Amino acid sequence: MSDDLDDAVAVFSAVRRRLFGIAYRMLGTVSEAEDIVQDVWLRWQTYDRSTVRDPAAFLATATTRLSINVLQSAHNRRETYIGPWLPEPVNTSDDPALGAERGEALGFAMLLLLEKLSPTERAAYVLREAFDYPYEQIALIVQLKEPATRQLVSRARKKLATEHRVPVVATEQRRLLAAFLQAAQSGDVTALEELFALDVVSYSDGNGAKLAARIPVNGRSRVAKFIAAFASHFWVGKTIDWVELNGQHAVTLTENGTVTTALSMTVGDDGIQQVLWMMNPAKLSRVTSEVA
Amino acid sequence: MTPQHPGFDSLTGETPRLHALLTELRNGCTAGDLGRVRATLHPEVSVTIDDGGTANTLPASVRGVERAARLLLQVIPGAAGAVTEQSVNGQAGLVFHRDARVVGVLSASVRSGALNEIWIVLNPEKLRHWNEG
Repeated sequence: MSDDLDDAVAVFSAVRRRLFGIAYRMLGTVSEAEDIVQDVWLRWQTYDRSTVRDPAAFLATATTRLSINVLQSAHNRRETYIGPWLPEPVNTSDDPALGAERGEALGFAMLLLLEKLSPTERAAYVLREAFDYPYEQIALIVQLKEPATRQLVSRARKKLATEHRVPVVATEQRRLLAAFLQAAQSGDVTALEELFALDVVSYSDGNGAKLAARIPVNGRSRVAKFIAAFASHFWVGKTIDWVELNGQHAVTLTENGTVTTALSMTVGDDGIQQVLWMMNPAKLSRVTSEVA
Repeated sequence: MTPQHPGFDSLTGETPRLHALLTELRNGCTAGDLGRVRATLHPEVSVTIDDGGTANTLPASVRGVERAARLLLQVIPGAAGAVTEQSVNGQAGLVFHRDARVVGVLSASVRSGALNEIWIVLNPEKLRHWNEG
C-alpha cells in the first residue's frame, strides 16, 4: 500500500506543474489554480488508480473539468469585484516554463482576451495552443466529438482575433460621428465615403417605422449614396443631441419633443464600420429616459 | 505565438522593445520626470489598475498620454531600487517593492514601438505568492 502511495505521489509530482499551468490559464488566478491542483491530488490519492491507463491524461482531464466548473461560478464573482479585474500575476523569473510546452496564453493581454470565451472554448483553446494536446484527447476532456472540438478551437481563435481589433479611443469615435453628421446632412457622398471603412454596414431597427430601411445596406459607396439620398428631408425639423449609449458617444434626433431616432456607430482604425439607426419606438423609450 | 494569428505577436510576444520601454519608464519615475514617462507611451495608451478596492483614491483606469503619465508617476514608486525588472507572465515586467515586500506588479503591451496597454496589480491578495518563500 505504501509503495502504491509512493507511486501515486511520483506520478502526480511529475505532472503537477503542468496541471497548475492548465488551471492558471483557465482562471487567471494563482490561488484558485492551486486549490484545483490540490483538489485533483486529493481525488488522485483516493481514486482506484489501477483502473487508470494513462495517469497524466487522467489528471489533466480532472484539472480541466474542475477549472471549467470554477470558471462558471467565477464569472459571477468577477461581476461583483470592486474595480477592474486583472489576472493574478505570476513570477516567471522563478518559473519560466509554468508547465507549458510553449509560453503561450500566459501574458496579461491574452489572459484578458480569454475571459471573453466560454469556459469550454477556453479549455479547448488552452489545451491546444499552450499544451499542444491532440484534438482527439481534447475531445475526450471536454466531452465532445472530435470535429466539434476542432470547431470549438477554431471559433475561439476567431473570437480572439476579433477581440484583438484595437479599440479606437472615444475621442476618435466622437470626431467621426460629428464629421458623419455634417456630411450626412449636406448629402456629401464623397465626404461620407471618406469616413467609411470599405465594408461599412448601415443597420436600421425601425420595427416598420417610416423611413427606416428594412434591410442592412453594405459597402462604402452604397451606404454613402443611401445616406445622401435622404439628406434633403430626413434631418429637417429634428434637433440633434449628443448622448452616451452603452458607454459610447451617440446622438438622438428629436422631433416635436419626441426622440425618434438614436444614431450610434462602431469605428475602427479604418473608419466607421457600422452605422446604427435605432428608430424602433419601443426601444427608444429607454433611450429617452436616459437622455432626460 | 502560433502562426495562425500573427497579429497577436506585438501584443503578447516578448520583445526587446518592451524591455527598453519599461527601463525608461522606471527611470523616468525615479527621476520624477513627466516628460520621460510620457515619451514611452502610445497616443492611445491605457492604464488599468486592479487594487481590489483597497486603494480607492486612484482612478481605476485612464486613457491618453497625459492622464496615463500622471497616474504612472503617482503609482510607480520613485525611490531608488524600489522598482525591479522581472519576468511577469512570461514577459518583461516591473515589480514594486516597499519594506522588503512586493507591493505592485506591472505588465504592458507594445504597439507601434510604445507602451499601449499597461496593467498594474496592487491588490495585496493577488500579490500574496510574490511574498511567500
